[in-house]
Amino acid sequence: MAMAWPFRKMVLTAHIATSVGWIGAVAAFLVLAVQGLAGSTAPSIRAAYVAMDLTTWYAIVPLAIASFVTGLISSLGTAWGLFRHYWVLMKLLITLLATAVLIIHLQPIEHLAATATIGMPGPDFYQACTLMVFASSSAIVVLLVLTTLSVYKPRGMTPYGWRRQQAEAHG
Amino acid sequence: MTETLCIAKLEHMNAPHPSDGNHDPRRYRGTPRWVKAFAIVGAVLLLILIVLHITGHGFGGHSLHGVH
Repeated sequence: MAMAWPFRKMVLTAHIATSVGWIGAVAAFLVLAVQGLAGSTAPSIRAAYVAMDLTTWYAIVPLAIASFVTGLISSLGTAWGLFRHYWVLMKLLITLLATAVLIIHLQPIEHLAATATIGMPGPDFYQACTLMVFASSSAIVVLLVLTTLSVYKPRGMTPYGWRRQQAEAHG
Repeated sequence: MTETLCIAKLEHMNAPHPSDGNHDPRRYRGTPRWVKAFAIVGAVLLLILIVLHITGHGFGGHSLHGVH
């Protein structure tokens, strides 16, 4: 089902804005995670973890969901389709996986922030902080891969896409 | 008129290529190499992630009970 041109452009604009915003929010999370790990004073470390929790809930999660939904609408409403081209399918799978990993780690992030507010952290805490830095750095790499796929749109049709194209070509 | 032409050009740039990697439209050329490479890298990364979680190095394995 093809969308009308103005609506298609509006959805695409929303998809680009939310996807870029998602990268920005994860970058902010990474800065806070580094501050949490390398901060020199206890209040600044605590503040970093509280801010990380807020950034996750009010920026990363909404932007990830919005990016997924707008991407879904955008692909289904254009000739690209959702399962016709490998680059679209790959983007869908990576986005789903990244969102799932994010959801799995929501509770530990919340726990880390709660722990930081109540007292001086122990060795387990610092190990978890290191993993936060690693996870957010990895997330940025994954999101940049998604951006690259969107820009380059590498060629390649799925067997389903090819069959649909053949069916459409032969009426 | 110019605007219409520009829009048409942009639409063309964003539209899928008719053959899109399949030079002979009657024959399916199989999975591209870049997709296979992506799948291998993805599978390896997923495996590392699962191993980290199982061995307790993931976020889920941290109880943070040592924090006071």
